[in-house]
Amino acid sequence: MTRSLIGLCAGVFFMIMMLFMVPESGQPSDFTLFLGRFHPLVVHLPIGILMVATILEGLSRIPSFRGRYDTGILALLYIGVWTSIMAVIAGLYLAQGGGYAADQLMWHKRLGILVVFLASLAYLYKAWPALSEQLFKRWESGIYGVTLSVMLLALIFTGHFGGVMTHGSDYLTRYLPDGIRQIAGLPKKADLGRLDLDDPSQTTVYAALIAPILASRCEGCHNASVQRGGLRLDDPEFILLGGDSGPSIVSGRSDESELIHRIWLPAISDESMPPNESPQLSVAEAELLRWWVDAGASFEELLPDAEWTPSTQTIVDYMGLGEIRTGIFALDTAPPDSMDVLALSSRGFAVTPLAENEPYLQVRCLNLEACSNTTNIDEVLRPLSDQIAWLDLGRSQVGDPFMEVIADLPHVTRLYLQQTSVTDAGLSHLQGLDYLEYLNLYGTQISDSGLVYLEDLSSLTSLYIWQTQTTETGISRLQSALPQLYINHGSNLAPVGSDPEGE
Amino acid sequence: MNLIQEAQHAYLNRVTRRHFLKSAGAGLGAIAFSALGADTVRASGATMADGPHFAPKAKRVIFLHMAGGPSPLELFDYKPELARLDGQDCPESLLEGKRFAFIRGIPKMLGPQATFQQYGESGAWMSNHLPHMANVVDQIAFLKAMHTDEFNHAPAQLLVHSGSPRLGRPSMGSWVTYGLGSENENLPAFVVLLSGGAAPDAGASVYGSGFLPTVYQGVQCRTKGDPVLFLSDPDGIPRHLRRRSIDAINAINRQHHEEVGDPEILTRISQYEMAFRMQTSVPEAMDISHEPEYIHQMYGTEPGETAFSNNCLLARRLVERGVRFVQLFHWGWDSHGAGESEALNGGFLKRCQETDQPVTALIQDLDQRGLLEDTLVIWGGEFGRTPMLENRTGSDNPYVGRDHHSDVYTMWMAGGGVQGGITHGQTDEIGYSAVNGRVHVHDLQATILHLLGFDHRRLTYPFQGRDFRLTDVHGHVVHEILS
Repeated sequence: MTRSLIGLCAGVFFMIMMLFMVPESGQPSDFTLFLGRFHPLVVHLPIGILMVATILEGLSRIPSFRGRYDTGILALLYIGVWTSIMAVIAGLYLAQGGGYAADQLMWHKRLGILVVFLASLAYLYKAWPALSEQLFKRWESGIYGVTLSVMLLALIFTGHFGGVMTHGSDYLTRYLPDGIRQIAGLPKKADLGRLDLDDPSQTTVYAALIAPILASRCEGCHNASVQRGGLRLDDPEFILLGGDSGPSIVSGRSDESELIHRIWLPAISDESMPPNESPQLSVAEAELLRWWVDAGASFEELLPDAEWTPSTQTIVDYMGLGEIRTGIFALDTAPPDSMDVLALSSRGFAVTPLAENEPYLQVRCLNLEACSNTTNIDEVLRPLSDQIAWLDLGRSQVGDPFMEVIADLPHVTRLYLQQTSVTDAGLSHLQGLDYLEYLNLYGTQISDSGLVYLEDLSSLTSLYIWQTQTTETGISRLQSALPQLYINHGSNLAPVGSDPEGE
Repeated sequence: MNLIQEAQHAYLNRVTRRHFLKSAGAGLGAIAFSALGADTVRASGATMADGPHFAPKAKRVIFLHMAGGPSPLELFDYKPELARLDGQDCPESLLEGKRFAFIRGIPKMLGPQATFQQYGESGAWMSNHLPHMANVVDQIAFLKAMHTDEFNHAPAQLLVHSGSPRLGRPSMGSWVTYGLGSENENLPAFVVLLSGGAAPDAGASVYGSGFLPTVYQGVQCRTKGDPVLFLSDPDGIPRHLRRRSIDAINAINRQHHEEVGDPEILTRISQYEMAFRMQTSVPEAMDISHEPEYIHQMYGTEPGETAFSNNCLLARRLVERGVRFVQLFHWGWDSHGAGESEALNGGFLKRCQETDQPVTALIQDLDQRGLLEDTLVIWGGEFGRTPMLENRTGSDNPYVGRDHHSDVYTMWMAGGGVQGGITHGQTDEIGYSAVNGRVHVHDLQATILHLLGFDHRRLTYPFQGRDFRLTDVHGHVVHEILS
């Protein structure tokens, strides 16, 4: 018995000493790493054994079981102590290989050693109660129970940290049902991997896409407290500053940017980042970073302004950022009432949804005579005033009275009034259409004085005024007020100002 | 609910339990939406898909199909290196593993039969055969590395228009009208206009409705004689009598439908109604004689004849009236060099002359009417042509030509959400294979549907136990050319 104990102690001592025998290369030896791989196997022995010991001890508190398991408990504690020592040593070997998050590893290590210590203490108490009584006079009755309970807790937490380190922090909660998730204050399952931004149109590309990648993949080693290679990636200022190898990014040149270079290197390379044993960037993340640098590495650019490449488009689509809502699509507009839609269509209009899941409608004059009738037209249009986005009255007989109604349709983006009886006075009603992008006035009687009313339509991008009374003077005046506006006043091949076809 | 929807519902209820589960599950939202849908239907006489998936850029399509396969090497794809190689034997490495329709043995290279110059702000190359089109290059997005799976006319045309080289699938125009419906209750939503002296090789299947209800099939309108055959009333039958006979026929058809429940009977009823309305609306829409003289000059029309120029003008008139899909076919681009009519220095030049001015006029006319922004104009054939000379008959042939070539060819699009003045895709020094930016026919179809507001993967129709779509299981949207 004594001899085997001495042998065990000597073995343990030797194994601990091996930890300090680092080969000249500075890398841990293959042999220790090989033994380290047994940690996951060995570690389950003390977990099971010490748990059983604790359970039996708990049962012994019931009067009819008292003293019945003492021999067994003693044996279990004895084996538990030695197997936990083995597990700790194997764990220390394994940790030498690196690649684990520092803070998790630290707690796992400390708690594991605590388990060894507490298990030994419990064993000593159980084996030599008299000795313990001498040592802990005043607490003798409670100390053993407390030791076992704390050991159990330490065991559970050690195991948890170990699991988190091997399987990732969301391993346990990934398939948690949504109901429990909500109680636990975790985000809903469907949102995992997708971005949930309050207002994507006001969020920068950097904040939405780039910073989260750096935070999850790089900041472990490049943050305010740890700066491997002298590099910090947790703040724009430091990203631009770079590290020991120079600037980390060159705006617009991913091929010259050290950061992009390193993340795209094959894992086999020594310079590849993140280091081999750390969680690697997905191809999508690496592609997003490269795209961001090539697009100018802006920290200010808003999501709607981003110019996606086909590959990044696919990625952001998947992340739920595919449609950045701008213009009327950013507004919170209620869906149309189907009875109102029917009422409008009975007036000779084709009324169709602009797109599925959108509240907006495209309205086109179908029966040129019926829809030109303005009697009570405001009563059928007004209930849909928020929903009408495209309004096509082209070739109908509508005139200025209809324009008064259009003034109350704030979300119109495309307005077709070609070959109608609209006049300059009618155009004055369009001044409040903040979202108007397209206006077709070809073949109408409007003139330069009508164009003046359009000068404040800042969203307007296309204007068609072929075969109208407008002149170069009025057109150039409007053009200088709205420099981005495309004004088409007729092609070169067709004589301007001739009568429209007699229909 | 109109006839067509009723037909669809009857059909679906008969064939699939899934439809029942779907409608049961969708609840109130579906009720509100079907009320919206009903309006589209009322307007069009036909729609079944639920409308666009996202806000469309284009509302209408004009597809100018240059049947026969025009040679990009004489039109858009400038290859000075090929001129240098003219008359030399084609290296065997280029022929390994390739199949051609006619070329056998080792052909000689054939230099470009045109001179090229750059035009517009975009600096697009354009041959001397298309002097008018050079004015509108800044409106055009060229796809110079199109490729297809087929090197014979009929299957290649079917692939372009129906997504499959074999018969039986609905054409693109049918899919689009199935998805979007019509914007004119008196005209067919999908109109086909033919010119060039011959119908497309694949026949009416390139504008057929396949397994979609027949209301979605393309209606061929003629520019000479009656626009639509058998549409006018026979002599001695006044219109009110025609009305009564149609009512009687429809009553019988309805009764028949109640007995057997075949949805195609409902299609037939609505066709009778549509035909009756078309008796007045079609002649009006198809009559170009009231167009002002400068418009005729602009297009170079030949009133009273069957001409591509007339068809271009008609295409504009039809989209103006809310026709969803106008399909033009102009036959005669099959320049093998076996005779004058099909030679690069013969019939090909004539085809260029016939189409150059009308196509240019169409783009400019659509633009000045504000229609180009939401009308997608597509130009192209079913495949390209080899950089090698095809000489079937021997060496004493005054005519030169090229064989069919499926690996690379040029198509272009303009308007309707397409960026103007750009070129996507590049060919090698001799225009034999693509270097980058390859676009398959299915990619083109996916892009067209995308511009019309559809995710091509979701515009489907259940047939024989599975959901079919235009792009089958292929297709990627060419984002590079979107504005």
